[in-house]
Amino acid sequence: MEKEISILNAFVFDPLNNIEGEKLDVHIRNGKIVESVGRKARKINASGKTMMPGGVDIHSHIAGSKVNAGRLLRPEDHRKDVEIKTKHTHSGVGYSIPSTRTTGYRYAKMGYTTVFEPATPPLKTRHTHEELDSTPIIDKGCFPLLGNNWFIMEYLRDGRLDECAAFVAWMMKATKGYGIKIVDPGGVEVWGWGKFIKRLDDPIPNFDVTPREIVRGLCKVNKILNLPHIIHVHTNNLGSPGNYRTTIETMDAVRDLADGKRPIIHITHVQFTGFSGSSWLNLGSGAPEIADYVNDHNHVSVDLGQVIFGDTTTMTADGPFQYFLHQLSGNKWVNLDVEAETGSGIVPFQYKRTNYVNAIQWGIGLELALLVKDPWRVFMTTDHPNGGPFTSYPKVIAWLMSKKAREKMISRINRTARRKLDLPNIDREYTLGEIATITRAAPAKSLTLMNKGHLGLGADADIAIYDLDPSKVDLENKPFTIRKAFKETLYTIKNGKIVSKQGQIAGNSYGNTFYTESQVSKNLEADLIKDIQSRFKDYYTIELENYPITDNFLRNPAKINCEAEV
Amino acid sequence: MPKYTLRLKKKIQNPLHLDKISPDGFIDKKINSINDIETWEGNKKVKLKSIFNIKKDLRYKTEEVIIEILGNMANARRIGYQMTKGKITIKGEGGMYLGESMKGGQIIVEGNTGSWLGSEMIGGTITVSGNVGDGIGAASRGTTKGMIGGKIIVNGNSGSDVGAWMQSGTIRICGNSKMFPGLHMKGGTIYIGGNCQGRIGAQMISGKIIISGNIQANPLPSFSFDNISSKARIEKDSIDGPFYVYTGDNNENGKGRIFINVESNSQLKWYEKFLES
Amino acid sequence: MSQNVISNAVCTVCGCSCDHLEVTIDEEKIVKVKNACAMSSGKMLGYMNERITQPLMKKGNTLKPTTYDRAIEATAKTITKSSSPLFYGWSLTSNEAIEIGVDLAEETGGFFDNTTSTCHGPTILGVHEIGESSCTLGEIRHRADLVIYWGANPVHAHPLHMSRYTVMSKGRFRKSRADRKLIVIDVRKTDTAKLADVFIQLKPNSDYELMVALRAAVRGDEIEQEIVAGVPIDKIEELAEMLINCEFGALFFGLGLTMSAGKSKNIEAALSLVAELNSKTKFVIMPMRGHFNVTGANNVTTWLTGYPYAVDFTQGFPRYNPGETSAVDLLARGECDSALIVASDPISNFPYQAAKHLTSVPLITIDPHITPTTMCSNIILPSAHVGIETTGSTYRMDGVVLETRKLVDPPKGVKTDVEILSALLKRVKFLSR
Repeated sequence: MEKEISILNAFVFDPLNNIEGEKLDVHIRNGKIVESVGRKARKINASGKTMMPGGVDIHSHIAGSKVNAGRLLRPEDHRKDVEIKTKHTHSGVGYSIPSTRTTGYRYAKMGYTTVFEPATPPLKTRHTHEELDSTPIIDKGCFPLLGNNWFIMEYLRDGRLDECAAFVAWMMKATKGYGIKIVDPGGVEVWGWGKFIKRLDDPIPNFDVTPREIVRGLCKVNKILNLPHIIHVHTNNLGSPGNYRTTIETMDAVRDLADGKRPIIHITHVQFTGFSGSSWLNLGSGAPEIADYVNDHNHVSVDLGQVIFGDTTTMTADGPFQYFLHQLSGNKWVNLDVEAETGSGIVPFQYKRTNYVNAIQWGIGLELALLVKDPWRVFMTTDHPNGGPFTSYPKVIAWLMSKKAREKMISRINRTARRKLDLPNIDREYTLGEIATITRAAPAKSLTLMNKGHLGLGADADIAIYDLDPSKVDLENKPFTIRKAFKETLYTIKNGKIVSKQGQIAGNSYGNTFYTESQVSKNLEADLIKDIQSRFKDYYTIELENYPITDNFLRNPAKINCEAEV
Repeated sequence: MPKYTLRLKKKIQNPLHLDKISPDGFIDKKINSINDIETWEGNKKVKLKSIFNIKKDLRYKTEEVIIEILGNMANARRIGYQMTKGKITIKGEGGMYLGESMKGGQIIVEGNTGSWLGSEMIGGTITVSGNVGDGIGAASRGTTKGMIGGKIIVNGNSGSDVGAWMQSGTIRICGNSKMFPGLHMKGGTIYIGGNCQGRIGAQMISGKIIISGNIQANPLPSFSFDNISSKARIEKDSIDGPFYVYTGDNNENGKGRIFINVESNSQLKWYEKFLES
Repeated sequence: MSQNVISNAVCTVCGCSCDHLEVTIDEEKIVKVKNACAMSSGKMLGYMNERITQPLMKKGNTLKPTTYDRAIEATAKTITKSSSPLFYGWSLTSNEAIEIGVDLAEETGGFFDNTTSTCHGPTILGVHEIGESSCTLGEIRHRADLVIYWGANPVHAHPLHMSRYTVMSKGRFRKSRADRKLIVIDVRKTDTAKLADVFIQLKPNSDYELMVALRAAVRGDEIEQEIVAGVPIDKIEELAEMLINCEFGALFFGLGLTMSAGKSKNIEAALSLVAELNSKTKFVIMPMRGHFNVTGANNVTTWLTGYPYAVDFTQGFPRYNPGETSAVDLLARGECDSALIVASDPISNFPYQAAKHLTSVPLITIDPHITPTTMCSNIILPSAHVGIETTGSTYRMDGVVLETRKLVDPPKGVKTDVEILSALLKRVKFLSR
């Protein structure tokens, strides 16, 4: 494979370097973007084409215990979408929960080069890494679930913030995790008894700490440890009418901790926690209120969790919500609680255009994206596969860029929902630069992946070239062209190598798994280990010695070092 | 329309996928093209001509394509897959998944078949002179949506799970059936002329199951005795009873009905006490 | 002589995956093991019994010593030529080996199946239809005040299950045996049943009826029958009351349920009962997995193919339908023309027709020990024990992954499953290009 490539004359969209549609040449050597290359470099003529950094998906359920439980639950999901083995690629199955190889290939075909599994139960994270290691091409990472962890809840209850920070640092190292994930803080512990909580200030039985305290505590810990990503939060009350208030309350719960410069809390898949109304009958969109808050407070970032009409599989660590969905839909249901840590649930689901609630849900995600002004703080996701499979991203891009595309769908959704939503009155259309921001630059920045999400000198040569000529095509009126272009790149380049060309995968390379290690002081670490040792046997059914993932377990580990404040 | 005769010319050892054998697949095709239709024998792609001697009989003047298969198709899968019209006759074993997802037309088997006959059928008719395996008219794994139309008639015996997840259509087993007929049934009618091993209508929501023979034990405890009916209907046919009638499956809030022949089931006589009250 | 004591070794016998074994090594042999049950001690101390220490290939009617290279070459040629090669076993080896096995089956266009299809296959078939409310074992240790073993006899099959994870264990919220109720449901009074607070003896092959009646009682529906499955209705209703009134219940089940009349439907009924119970209290269910890494075999196969066992790669993509694509059924129909058996002994436990066919096709086995299957094989590739002579990851019955240790070296010259399978895959790819 050539070590040097020149991509010539593309319309480049590189928001992190303030490039929006300029015709530029981009050069690659040894997997990095460089200033120039030799004459023998392979040349790709990208005239009339669009080039962006490789996509960065900050939240997509692609690997781990609940994902695999979902695959096992749904043989029928696989039958309708198969990948046949080729000379260069493995076979697999697709649709809403693709097999690991198919996941890697399909992301690469769309021009995505980095994907994060957003919810891994620490005790079962070896499984997550096994699957991530089995997923070809893309770089990846995962967020350990900490919002219902017994150690953490007790440290926070007792006001032992430094020890909590040391524990989280230890946990990141032990699980080879990247950042702090919080799902239904305290709520999943309560679900361990089959019960539910509602309010941020309800103390968790047996732990005497509230969801608010958990969120605030971990937000502080995140700062102490200087982790590269901010706390990534799936709020309480997901799926309940009126829950937009919980979203705003959660965002507001850490407002005083902000430094005014950058976000300190990321609220994920806000569509699912953006419901107004008090029941299913009067459900509405809470997106305007949430967008107002996000616009007025720069300590928050969000991602959409956009709904796609059709069949999919819901899967989250929010065990209680998944049980509720099972009751509501009557569909089969898997629940997997994890000792001392978290839980998960899986329910197949179908979003119908003609269904009032589903149509409102569809509107919420788009309203949020269109009403939040700062594209650096709103990322495009479907919370794959909860809102829909990641292969639907081209549809979402088309809806964001083209009011015409939205109108077409709006005309087909439930009439009452159509009248209720603000969406029909929103004219805004995303530019290509903004799409590049919300699908790559902004998520990369949020993850502090310094060499991703941009095409500056020294960046990883992760590049997507799309068959889209922004100078000739009136994109907002050609949603089909948008969809077609983003469905499959002309070229996807990963670490300077062509991995996909017009939908043909070049081979089975394997990307890096990013994880963080935040070093606390030796004394603090020693005290922590003593504390964990004294309690570990009481909490877990495996030995402490067998809990941490060994350094050679990962195929291609890529450690990111951080310096803690303690 | 012509009639095609496919005579098996060798013993089949490996799995043989014959989903391309359907009247829809043969219509308007020349004999050479049919001979060259590719299919899977184990992991080898083979042409139909390596498996069958294929003859086209132009003297046959019918409105529909007829395919006659001669030989033991026990290792074959999916003959008649998704067919919409025409007729397939098999003189020999019919194989597995025969007529899966068929939408119309007719399949006649002069012999036995394996399991999953008429799985997820939408329309058409399948008639089998011999015995059949498990899961006839059933849904595929995890789908929870089985047969939604069509008719299956079996002159012999059947395996278990007849009509599992069935939504509509009719299945008639003239002989005996193993357990779990009508498992998770949502509609349609199942008739069993002979004996049944039991566990009838397990987890059914709706639909009708009629059993003329003996069921060995009681119906499931989640069924309630309703009354005695002198007859039971399947399509336009009236089957003479009397029958004990049960409703359920209560565990699923089901409103299905099971008709069990009174004379063949003396062990159920005790249910008659509920009539007196 | 100095001894080396390794603590917290992971056992590789049953699905309990106890990881607190203390193993003493002396002169490169395991001489003592603490904290282990009888089965575990048996394996740890007996791993050198009846070992095959050299590859063997049949010439005429006799197995003759050969080299790994020759044996692998002959195997590669056989399976590459085959129209329907079968790759079976997998539950007693590591995740890493299983991954290569799946790729071998895919590369050769064969069938990939593991011991699930003769064990808890019905469980998985049930989960496809109903789902499963479950958890990791620690949740039960901490919270369960009611534990049921149905058609399972952990005293013998999973000896440390109760003391590590259930009624004899100490949890955060349940400190002792007195805090919990043990219910055993079985067709005979097993040694586990003798420890129960409540023992329900049912008629053989009537588990389904009892499960249905129990669910009806939980729902509060009237049951017209006075006796179900040989159990009086009032006893069933009492049992239902216990289930509803517990704070956290756990139902473990074994082959008594998966292999008695009804099979996967028995499991559907159990899964449905537990799902129903969750509308009243907290309840979980878990199959008692036998082989130490059968759960791993399911997980690895699922993430690579979408399906947990019985995978058909003959058409170039994964297909799945136990009954059609599972090893026993393929063999019984005579539909495989070669077989590679890894860490399993199907000749011993398959139905006659299937075992007979296995002996009539080229049969290759990768195993540490002499077994009836190796005795019928054309080619034998001896391998090292995972968790004793080589490392490897394994899944506990509840889905927790553990990294096993290498405690001692394998017999001289004996390779690991990963080494053998990697070399085989490399040869197969070369021959197929």
